[in-house]
Amino acid sequence: MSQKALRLTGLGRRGLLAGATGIASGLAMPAIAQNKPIRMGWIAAVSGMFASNAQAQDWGFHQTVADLNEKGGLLGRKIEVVMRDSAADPSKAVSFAKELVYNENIDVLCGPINSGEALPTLGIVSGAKKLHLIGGSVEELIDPVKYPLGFRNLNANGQWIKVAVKFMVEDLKKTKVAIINDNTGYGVLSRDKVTQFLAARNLKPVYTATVDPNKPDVTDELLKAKDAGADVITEWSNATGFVARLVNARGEQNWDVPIVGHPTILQEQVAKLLTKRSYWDNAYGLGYRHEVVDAQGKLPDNVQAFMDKHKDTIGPYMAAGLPAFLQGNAAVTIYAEGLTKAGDPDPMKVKAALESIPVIKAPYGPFIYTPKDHNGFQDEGIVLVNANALLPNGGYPPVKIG
Amino acid sequence: MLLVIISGLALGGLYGMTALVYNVMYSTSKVLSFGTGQFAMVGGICTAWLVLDLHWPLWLGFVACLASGAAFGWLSEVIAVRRIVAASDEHLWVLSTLALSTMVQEAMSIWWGTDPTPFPRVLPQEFAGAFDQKFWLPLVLAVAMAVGLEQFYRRSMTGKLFIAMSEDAFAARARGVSTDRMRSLSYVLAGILGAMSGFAGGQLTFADFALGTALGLSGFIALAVGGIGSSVGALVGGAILGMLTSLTTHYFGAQYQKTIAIGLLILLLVVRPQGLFGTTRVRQV
Repeated sequence: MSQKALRLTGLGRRGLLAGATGIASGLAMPAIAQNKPIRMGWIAAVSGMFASNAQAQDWGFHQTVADLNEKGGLLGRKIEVVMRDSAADPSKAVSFAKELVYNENIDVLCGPINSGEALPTLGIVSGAKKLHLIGGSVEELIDPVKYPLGFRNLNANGQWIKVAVKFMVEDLKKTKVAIINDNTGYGVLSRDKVTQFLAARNLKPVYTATVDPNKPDVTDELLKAKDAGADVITEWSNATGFVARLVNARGEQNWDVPIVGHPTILQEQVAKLLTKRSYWDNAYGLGYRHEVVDAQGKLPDNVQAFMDKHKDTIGPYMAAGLPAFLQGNAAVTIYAEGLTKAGDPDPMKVKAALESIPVIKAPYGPFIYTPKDHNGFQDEGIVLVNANALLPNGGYPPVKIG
Repeated sequence: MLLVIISGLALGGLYGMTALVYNVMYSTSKVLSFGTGQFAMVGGICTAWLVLDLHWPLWLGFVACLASGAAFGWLSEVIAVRRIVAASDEHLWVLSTLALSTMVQEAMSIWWGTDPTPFPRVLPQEFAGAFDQKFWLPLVLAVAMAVGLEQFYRRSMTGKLFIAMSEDAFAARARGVSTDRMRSLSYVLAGILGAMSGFAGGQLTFADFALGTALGLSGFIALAVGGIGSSVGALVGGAILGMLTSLTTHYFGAQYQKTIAIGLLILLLVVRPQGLFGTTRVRQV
């Protein structure tokens, strides 16, 4: 086009150039969107109170993302993780949730990974209409009506307690239950749930104690439970010191009743605080099917495959236990399955996909979501394991009764 | 029942020792430091680290535990008390000691971790039920500490100067007593005694960053019950609180422990504000 012609059309050379660039960029836009990475927000308290467990979850999360990226990502797009450390502080968790959903343009938020931090973020993530994979076990976190885009990526607390009560009554054949819990909100809530599940079996606890987890000695609580005729103790606390004092007090009284309860009782940290390691023998904690070995001592194939693939870096995270890093894996696996089926990161489409997948077989366990239930994790994924039976590969043998 | 009583007395010993530590600092500064329980926490963690992690002999770990308490005591006087008390008659030390206590606790949680860790066995004794060292060590050391402090106040010049300052710091200064130095010294002594209580109770409490706050509160209740300034009162206040905690559980249930302990404090403050062994000072004007 000559200069004259350009002048007649009212366009200068610069205008023409700008127009051409605009057209070119407009044509290229769908291609860029196709190549834009999938952005996963991730809030985990890798420092502070729950650091050791969260660090293992964080490791599992990042390894799973790396594995997917190695295979070309999701929908042909790389995955980017935007991570924030909430340091077990709910106010930080809230700030980071706001930042991630509004400023970081994420496609999904995973975490926070404990209930106390997750609860105040629900409204924020739901308000921003982002898909939310929630790593807390408190029942109130999941409500498909109030928070339609929220999905739980581990079991609910009630499932743990239901399985623990079933184990005490049906497997151990114990009916005189003493409940000892700490005085945190979690401890009290768990006590009430145990009481409810016992009531459903026409049973009443013979003794209930709500104790300050920092109390230096719990001998009196144990003696009281003994006097009440308890034939099993169920403990609900995630304070290692408190749980160890309880196990010690029972052992020191030569009172060999089983103690059944929260997974904290399985931690090596508890074993280190025991006067004698044998006190750990008759103690059972809530574990998962994925950490129970078969007759040959082998872990489930998908768990072993994940551990083998990452054997060079897994070392420091084994102490937190298999469930910790597999929970990090579950968050990514669940989203990956939903996104792949949806074929589009639009949260409503991924939601619909997650609700329609018959079963998501994550190494952590099976998840089934429906439009009415976003809890997902299935009861059969939870089992009781003997605290003093941990195997070198991180697994537990099945519990043998009698 | 014996185990209930022994367990209660052991807790009482621990609370009584904390009350004694409050007394030592209060005598020279009229400050009830919020960091009192942290001396025990620092002493306990220091011992566990040196003996179990670095494999120092226990006696050397004990000496280092006392040294850490002395250093922490001195620092707390320098950082949270000296200037605050000199600059203001208001009770601003409440804030400064609380701030220091919080900072120390957080620092320990970052360095040591938030999970309690084992504390070394002090004597080669198989676990012996009610007569186990974890119960009687706090008890014996609490009594020894109270007796030692009484002797120190009565027989040593420094102890007498502490008493003089507690009665009238201005008069003591007018007579040439270096009150600043005495106050500093009292905090060093308090730090040592606090760390010793952490050592004595370590097998019960484990080496735990969260110990200080709980112990500080219970020690304060023991002090208020026994009467500020009285060593016998501190011991008796501690024993009453410990026994009450154990017996409440035994007879009523664990959920009433705190209510009854705090209820006792309120009742005593109403009926006998100076505590069981405290005295009301009348000042002539």
